[in-house]
Amino acid sequence: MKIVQGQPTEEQLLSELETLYPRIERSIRAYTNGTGLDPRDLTQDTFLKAVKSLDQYNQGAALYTWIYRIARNTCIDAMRKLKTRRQYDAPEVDADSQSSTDSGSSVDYRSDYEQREEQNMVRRVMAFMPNDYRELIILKDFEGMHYNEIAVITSLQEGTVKSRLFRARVMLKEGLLKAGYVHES
Amino acid sequence: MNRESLEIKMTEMLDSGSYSKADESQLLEELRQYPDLAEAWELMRSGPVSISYDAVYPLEPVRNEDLEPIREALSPTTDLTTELLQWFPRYFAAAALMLLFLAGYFTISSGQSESFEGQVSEWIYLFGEEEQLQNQEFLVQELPFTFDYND
Repeated sequence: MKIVQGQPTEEQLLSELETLYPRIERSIRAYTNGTGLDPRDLTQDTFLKAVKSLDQYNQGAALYTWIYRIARNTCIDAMRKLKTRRQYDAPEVDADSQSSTDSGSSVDYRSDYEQREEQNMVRRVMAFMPNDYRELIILKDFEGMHYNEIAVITSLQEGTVKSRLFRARVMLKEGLLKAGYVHES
Repeated sequence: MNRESLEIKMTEMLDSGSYSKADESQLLEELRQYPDLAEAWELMRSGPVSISYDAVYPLEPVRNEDLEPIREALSPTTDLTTELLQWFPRYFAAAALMLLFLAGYFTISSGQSESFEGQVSEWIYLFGEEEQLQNQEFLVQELPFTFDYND
């Protein structure tokens, strides 16, 4: 026999699940790239933890900010358990980049190939960045969050977020330039 | 201005994307104490690296098998037994009081029923006696003689 509980937060999470899930999964993928951790498992853990601790959710804060915070802590715990030493495994090679040799003109192929190389390079450079810096790039530049939201997620002051983000962006740009990535806006 | 304040200022300037020559001159003046930061500013002032993060880390389509356990956990329905087990400790004292009350009620009720049963037995006994008397009267009427109680 089933009975209805009907908590508004549960309904809210249920309604936002399909939108939130891929975003969180992508951020976790970017955050844990090169560690060998499975982003799918971590995303599942994140959401199940969120469901279990829904009673701790402060209705005043944005739901996605709260879940990002749980995702971040889940990743940090998992990486701590693995005692990851910032050693980057081979970047994921896109299967379709191999097959692109079969189609299109040589100009198209080169352009496509270069794009994929650039993407791999960004992944590689980001994987080498310290977690504290990489997460700020993900939250600000990937997810386009506001500084106050990032401050909540990372438990940092807004000023610290901004100063650290400056260093993170410099680090990323230096890394990409060193790796031969010269395409600038 | 200390290093952190300068980093904050540079981030804000880069985020806004538009700053006056005067602002930059003032910043460069401040950066003279920190050559490494001045170098970083030179690197960044040309703009952030043009990266399509969506291409680097595309959104993966969500699979139902991934969402199902979460939906299950989030489901606004729950098993009645589970629900009752969760509620029981909360209302344990009330339940105990209710049990005491019910036990008392039944004790009193059973006392009453005993007296009721006694009453019924009495009625039955009386009824039997009356019936016996009627039978005796009947038998007397059937006799070919009568008793004369006056003798």
